[in-house]
Amino acid sequence: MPSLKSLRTRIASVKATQKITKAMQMVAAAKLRRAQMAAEAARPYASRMQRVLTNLSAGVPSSSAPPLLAGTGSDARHLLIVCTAERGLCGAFNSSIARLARDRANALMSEGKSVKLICVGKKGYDILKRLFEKDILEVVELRGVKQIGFGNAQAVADKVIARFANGEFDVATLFYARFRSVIQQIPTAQRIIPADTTPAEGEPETGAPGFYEFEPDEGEILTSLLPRNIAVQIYRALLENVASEMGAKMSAMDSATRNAGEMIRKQTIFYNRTRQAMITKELIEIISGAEAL
Amino acid sequence: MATFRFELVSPDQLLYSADVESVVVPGTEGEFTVLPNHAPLVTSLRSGGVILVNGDRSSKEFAVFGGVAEVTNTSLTILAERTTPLKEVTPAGLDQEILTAQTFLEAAHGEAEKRLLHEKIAQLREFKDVVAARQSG
Repeated sequence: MPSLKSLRTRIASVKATQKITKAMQMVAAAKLRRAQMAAEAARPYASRMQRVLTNLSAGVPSSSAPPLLAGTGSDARHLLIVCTAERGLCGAFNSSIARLARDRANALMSEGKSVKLICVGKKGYDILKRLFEKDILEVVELRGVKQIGFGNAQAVADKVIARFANGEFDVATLFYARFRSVIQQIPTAQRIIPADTTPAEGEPETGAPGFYEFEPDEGEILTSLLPRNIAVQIYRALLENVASEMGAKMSAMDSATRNAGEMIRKQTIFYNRTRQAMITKELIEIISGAEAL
Repeated sequence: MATFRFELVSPDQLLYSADVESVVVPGTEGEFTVLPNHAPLVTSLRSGGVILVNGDRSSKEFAVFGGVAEVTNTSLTILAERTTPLKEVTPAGLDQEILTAQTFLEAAHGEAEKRLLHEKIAQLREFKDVVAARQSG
């Protein structure tokens, strides 16, 4: 039978853990609200950008479209940009994104296509490096970044575009978790090169293709807009990711707090039973000692 | 007077959204004013001031640094790379911008990139002159 003292320390340590998980849950809840606001504030730009791009691309013949829009004509070399969190303790958040990327990479490789990866966020890199160590081109850490700004996304986008301009890959896909609700984050794969020009859901049609006049001309606007669009898509993915991470962390910490509570309850019952058993045993010893006299 | 929908969006947020009477937009090919029922147009922007007049005749000014404007019959959307209130723009701040652009220019390799940066610097200089003239006048 364990001593009463060791039981007491065990209960105390679980209580301390519960306090920590509870605090983490509250921090995640506060950060989630901020992250959600940032994600919502960034949405109009991304959706307007998509609309302008869709209208523009409809007016440009595919033969003269820049490669960022029309692709390089092949799809043999793929680049996967995997965005994850910098920290753990957020349930299946990191592993579900990494799993989606891994499955995609394996599927592409079995088709005989070459796959390279760029990891944004340390956790995804930790998981993926075991499998694809030599295919990981770059790791972008956002550890010191408190609030993700457009500059962070721009830096990632610049790297991707530079590699594309060097002809290192044909198709780029972005992996992140879309924020649906606190308990639901959906790991998502999104193609960003060549640009996805299907009209966004819920966007009203603005007119027939070729409906606009262009200044200076379509080509010039497209060449400035397309790299920007990539940065915007990455920016949106990063913001969605932060919101998703905080949501996942919140629910993970919530269930951790509940588990700790359950454990404290059980331990306390066990502690009380043991204490009673000891008292009973001592009483029996005293009584039987007295009877013997 | 008739109004149309105006939206000024930067990557971080929707900065301004309202029904307005007119907006002056700094296009790369020259400044132009958008009134209701303007012909549909997509244009890239240079650094410069966006001046809008609200339905109640009050006006508002923003500075934009590059971006794209989309005009339809009933709306104007400006997708700016960066914006600030025009009041906060100073010649000294613009000098800083020019300097940064010049550093980029020295590091640039491709012809197209150099041409773009040259243009950007010229635009910033022009904008600086405008701002300086406004402040002294």
